[in-house]
Amino acid sequence: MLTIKDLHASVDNKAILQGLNLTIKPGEVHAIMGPNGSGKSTLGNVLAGREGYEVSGSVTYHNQDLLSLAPELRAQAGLFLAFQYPIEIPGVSNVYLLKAALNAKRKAQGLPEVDAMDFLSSVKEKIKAVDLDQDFLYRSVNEGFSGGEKKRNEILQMLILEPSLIILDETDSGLDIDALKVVADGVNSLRSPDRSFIVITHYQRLLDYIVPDFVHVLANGKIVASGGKELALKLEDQGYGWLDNA
Amino acid sequence: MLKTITHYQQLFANHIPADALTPVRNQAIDAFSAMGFPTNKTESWKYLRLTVLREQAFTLMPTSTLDPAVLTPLLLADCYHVVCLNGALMPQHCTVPQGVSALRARLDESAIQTLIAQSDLSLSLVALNTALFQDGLVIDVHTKLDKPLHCLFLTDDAGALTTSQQRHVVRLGADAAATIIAEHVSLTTTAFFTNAVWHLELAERANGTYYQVFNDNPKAIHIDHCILNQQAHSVYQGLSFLSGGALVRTDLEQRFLGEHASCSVKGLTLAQEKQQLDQHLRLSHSVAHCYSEQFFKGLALDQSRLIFNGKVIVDQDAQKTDAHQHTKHLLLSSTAEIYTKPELEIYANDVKCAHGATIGQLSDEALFYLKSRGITDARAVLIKAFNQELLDLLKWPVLKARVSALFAVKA
Ligand SMILES: Nc1ncnc2c1ncn2[C@@H]1O[C@H](COP(=O)(O)OP(=O)(O)O)[C@@H](O)[C@H]1O
Ligand SMILES: [Mg+2]
Repeated sequence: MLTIKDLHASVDNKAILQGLNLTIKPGEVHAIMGPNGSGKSTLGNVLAGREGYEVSGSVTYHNQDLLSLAPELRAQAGLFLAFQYPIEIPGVSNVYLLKAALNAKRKAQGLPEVDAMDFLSSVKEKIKAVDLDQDFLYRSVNEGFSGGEKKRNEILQMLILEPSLIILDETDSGLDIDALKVVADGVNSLRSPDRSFIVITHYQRLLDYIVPDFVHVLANGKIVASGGKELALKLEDQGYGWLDNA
Repeated sequence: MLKTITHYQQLFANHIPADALTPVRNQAIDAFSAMGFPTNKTESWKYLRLTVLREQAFTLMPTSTLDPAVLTPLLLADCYHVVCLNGALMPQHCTVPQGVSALRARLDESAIQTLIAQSDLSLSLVALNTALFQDGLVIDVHTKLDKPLHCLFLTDDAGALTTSQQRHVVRLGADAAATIIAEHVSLTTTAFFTNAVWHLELAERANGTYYQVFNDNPKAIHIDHCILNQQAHSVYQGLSFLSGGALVRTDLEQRFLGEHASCSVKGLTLAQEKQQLDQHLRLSHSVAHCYSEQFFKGLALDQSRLIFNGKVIVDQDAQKTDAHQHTKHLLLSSTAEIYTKPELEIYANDVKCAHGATIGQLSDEALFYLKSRGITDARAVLIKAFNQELLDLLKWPVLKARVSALFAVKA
């Protein structure tokens, strides 16, 4: 699904990612944990194609050179980043974005545009699943949404687009336990043998609900430790300090 | 330059018949001859390059005929219709309420003569218009009009390299109400020069709504000068959409003459290629207790120039004035230029004035967010979002679709 080799990323000569390697197979859930500023969001951004980084190394996604693709083509090829801080876009309605995004993906797959009625009934069902009112569909993207509503809106987009590689960047932070369950249920409903997840989180709490196959620790732009879900418990217990001594 | 001044003097001498306004017209042609066209040294014209006007000798627009097949799709449903072709009213294509007629037929009326005689001949294009105007509309409304009045101003191939000098008078009587939609459409792709002066007179408690759609062809020059006088308790709402033309300059010279009147003017401008689009507004609070609001948005792409100048003057006696001015512009190319200038001159002490002006760019973060969702034309989507709040003020679906199409920018 995804093979990252020796990935470096810097901004204005400031090195952020410094030789990151990671391989993800279809169906796997990888959790990435790490202290603030270790480069977790940068990893998500670089994979999604955000400009502004000097990038080297290689990333292969479904046998394609991911780094050479424009961000919209990455999305159309099934990559999805749930942003740590989803931004507000006044004047663009949520429902417009959802439909345009879905149709862009379908077009890339050679499929016709989605039927308007089918789309609406599917959206209405999925917005219930993330526990948002229907009027959120007709509001501008994230405009005036609370922190939790923004995160749920990211999950709604994920549910509609049914991506094949999903990166969740601290989707759990700032959520109460009910909202956390909504997010986890959404993610779990999409788990399948041909879909993979990178779950970036600060807290092991989320991993009680989204059980990972692997846990990695990112520090100073590199993966410094990898293990099973018990690694998350150890981090919860002992913090990141022991890694410096290791 | 001198050559074109002589040219317009000759047009005046040879083509403008004597009428009730001849003394005013004589003064006007003299005033124009002394000034010529504005140059970059004229403060309020300094960002416009008027070379074409100074060099091209536009002759007077000939009359022409209109193919109904061309006209019909342009007419908005559920409206009264006024159709002008090359500056001339086409009565056979009009369906109008009482009180609408050609200006030529009304020049003997003293009220109309007075209005025209008050033209500010120190403004060179107003002077040129006063000397040369051939015709225009008189719209007198004394009731509440049941339907909007859709005025189509068309220019066809016969109008190539010619000028139409138009003078229009709109008068809403006490308690009258009317919505006027002035839409300028080119049926030709060649250059022409429209120079129009409008008088809008709102009597006590009159309610006027005036929509303007400037969709001239990419070579057209269009000057539109509007003088708006508002009596007590009158309500004016103006909404302009400016997207066509090579060089378009609109002026609104508004004045409150009675208390408790309100004036709201809004507009959206899209400048592309080498277009020069310039809007100047001057709102004068000369009496107390009036409300004014300006809200303008605009975008400049390619090598275009967009100019906005909104001036609010609050006289010493205009206490309790409530004036707002907000502009938001997007500069979308490194070779485009935007000049915006809010000007507030306040001589009264008990007033409420709010203003804000921004010139920005599309948000990189918003662009990335949309692209990260697979959207290919993220830029066009954000531009549409920027335009939407003004486009949404158009209540008629057909007109809204037509104007929205003018403002759609390709990805
Ligand atoms: N665009 C940027 N410009 C400058 N520094 C940046 C930029 N993006 C990230 N950084 C820096 O890189 C480091 C890693 O940031 P980030 O990836 O957001 O960390 P994390 O998500 O793990 O908290 C931080 O020190 C941050 O300040
Ligand atoms: Mg982060």
